[in-house]
Order: sequence, then structure tokens, then C-alpha cells
Amino acid sequence: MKEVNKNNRKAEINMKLSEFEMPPMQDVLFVGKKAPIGPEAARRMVEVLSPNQYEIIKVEDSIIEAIVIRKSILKMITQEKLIPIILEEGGRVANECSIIKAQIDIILHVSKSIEL
Amino acid sequence: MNVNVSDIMFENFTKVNLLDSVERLQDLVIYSNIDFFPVFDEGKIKGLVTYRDLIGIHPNRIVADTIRRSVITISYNEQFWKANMMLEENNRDVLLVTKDKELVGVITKNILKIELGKHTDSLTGLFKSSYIYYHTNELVKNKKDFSILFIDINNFGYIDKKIGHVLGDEVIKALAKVLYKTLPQNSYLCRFAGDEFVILLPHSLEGVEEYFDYLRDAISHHKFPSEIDIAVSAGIINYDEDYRDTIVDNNIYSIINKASLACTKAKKSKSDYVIVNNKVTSALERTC
Repeated sequence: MKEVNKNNRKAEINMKLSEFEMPPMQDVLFVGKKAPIGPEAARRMVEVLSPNQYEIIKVEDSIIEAIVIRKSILKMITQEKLIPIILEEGGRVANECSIIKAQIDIILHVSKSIEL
Repeated sequence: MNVNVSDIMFENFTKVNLLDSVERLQDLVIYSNIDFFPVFDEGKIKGLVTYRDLIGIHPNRIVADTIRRSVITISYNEQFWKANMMLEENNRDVLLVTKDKELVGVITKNILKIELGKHTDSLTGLFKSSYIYYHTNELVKNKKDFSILFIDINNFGYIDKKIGHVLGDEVIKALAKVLYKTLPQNSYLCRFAGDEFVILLPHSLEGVEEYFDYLRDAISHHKFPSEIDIAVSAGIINYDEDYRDTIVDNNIYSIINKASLACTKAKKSKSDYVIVNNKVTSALERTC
């Protein structure tokens, strides 16, 4: 006797493995005004994962509510000089509902001369 | 009638935590009809969220991202008049009520509106005597100088009989409007009873006399119902340092009562006003 199974259902499993980023953000996080995570939640998240490494800066902007930034960056360039620059660029890609992470590389050029 | 904040506050309020979701609070607003939430963290009050703060906020957010951290508190034994002033001055909807630094209740704008209704005269829309008693008490307590002007319409009984009680009421309403329009800054007005009104002014004696002359002039030029001419008499008390030092009794009811008796005396003696003068015990009178 021959058994026939007319139901032919299959499952296909795919896996992608990658290393978990610590913390799951880079140097800067732009938090939109209507983003699902607010600046305080973002601060608490990074504070738990990377204590004392990030600072939250509330900004006056029509789209972005706050910027979470790595403290070490602010040691290189003052907040007053850096924030307007990254806000200008971040504002071009972010919208009210989004949370955007950004990587910032700062290269300092120093040149000194001494008398011989 | 003194009404304290503790007499009218909400005691069964819903506490929430800084890490609660905005979605939970939005559900409580919609399904449980709660519109304010004191926020706690580790047992300590951290702020407040009202239904307005939740409008347009993503439900995934946490309360910590929506909270108003600058909350205004009032002691449970303050009078509701003070709570009303604090809400108005700070443009808030809710005050937190504390006793020994512990949160014991919440006062909302709506609760205060209901209470204010009980202290509002339905004919004139002015506050009743409790309003003046409260402000007088505050000034006495803080040793501030002030004056009280107790005003009464001359021959109002006759006016009522002449034009009828309905039009008589209209006269009282019209006078209330004149008093309200001419009320100086930082002054308080109430309909005390019947055709009697009390004004609490920050003025010196000279200032009150000047204001009363201006008021009488405004009344004489106003067109009252049935084109009836009305005039008012007044009893005046100037509560200054001298007055404070000479009187034995600082009871506010006694102070206002003296102004009332001075007003009656002014009417009997056909004077414009009588000034209660404690130092010489007799009243100073000015006649037309």
C-alpha cells in the first residue's frame, strides 16, 4: 500500500551571525522628536551598557530632540563648536520619527615650530 | 468659610514609575479616565505627567521622556484660594499636595473650578466674602499695609420698592460692573451681601479717599437700569503700622466688621464715608 502526503510544507532557516556592537551605537545618536525611544531612554540604555561614556544634549531643533554623544569627542572639540556642525548634517538625513547613529572621526592637525 | 486644600484634593491618584511605558499611561487616560499621574522613582516623587503631555508621544517611549520635572507643590493646610492663585500664576493644570514632604493628594484645575463656583455670587459673577477674608488674612499675617472700603448703595430698599426687585438686581449687577472696571491693580473685590461690596486695596488712606472720589464720579456718570440715579456710602479702614500697633484684636472678621459699622454710620449721618480711626476712637466723617 502506498502512502501519499499531499500537504507539502517546508521551513527554511537562514542565520546571519555578527558580533554585537558594544554599545549598539557609535559616536553619536540623533533622537527625533517623535522617535519610539526618547533621549532619557537612550541615555539609560547607554549608561547601563557603557557607563560614563556618553552625554545627552537636548537641542533646539524642529526635527531632532536630543543628541547622545560620546564624551571623549567633546574633549577634542567643544560642544558649542561641534553640535551645530553635526546637527546640520544629521538634520539632513533624520526625520522626527527616526533614530540615527553616526560615526565621527576627528583628526587634529598640529604644527609647531621651535627656534634652533 | 475656610476651605483647605485637604478638603477638596484627590486622594486616590494613580502613581506611575519613571520606567513605565507611555502606552500604559495613554491606556489609563482612555480607559480609566485618569488625566494626571504623579511619577515616582525608588519611592521618591520625581515629577508629574498629565494627559496633555501624552498627546502625540510615541507609545514605546518611557515616562522619563515625558515627565515634567518642575512640579508645583502646596501644603495640605493652605486654603484653596492659594492653590487657585498658584495654578493661574504658573499656568498649570495640577498641583501636588504634600504633608511633611509626603505626597498626600492632587489638586486639579477642574476641582478648583467646582470649588470656585461655590464662592462665586451668581448674580454679579464676583467672588463672595470668603475671597476678601482670605486676602485680608494673608495681608495681616504678612504685616502688610492695606485699606478696606466697605461700600453700600444709599436707599437701596427704597430703590427696590420703586423699580421692583428684578430691576433692583439689575442695578446691583450694573454697579458690580462699574466696581470691577474701576478696580485698581493689586486690589480685590467681592459682593459681601445684598447691596454691599468690599474692596481690599494696597492704598494709603489718602489713596483710598482719592479712589473713592473717582469711584463715586464713575457711578454718578453711569447709566443704571430705569435711568435711576444711585449713590454709595462707604466705611474705610486703613490698616497700617499705627493701626496694627493700637488694636488689640487682629481678627479679620472684626476688622471688616468695623468697616461695615463705619459704612452704616456714614449712611445714618448722611456722610460720603466714615474712616475708622483707632487712635482717636471716634470716626472721621466727610459729608457731601
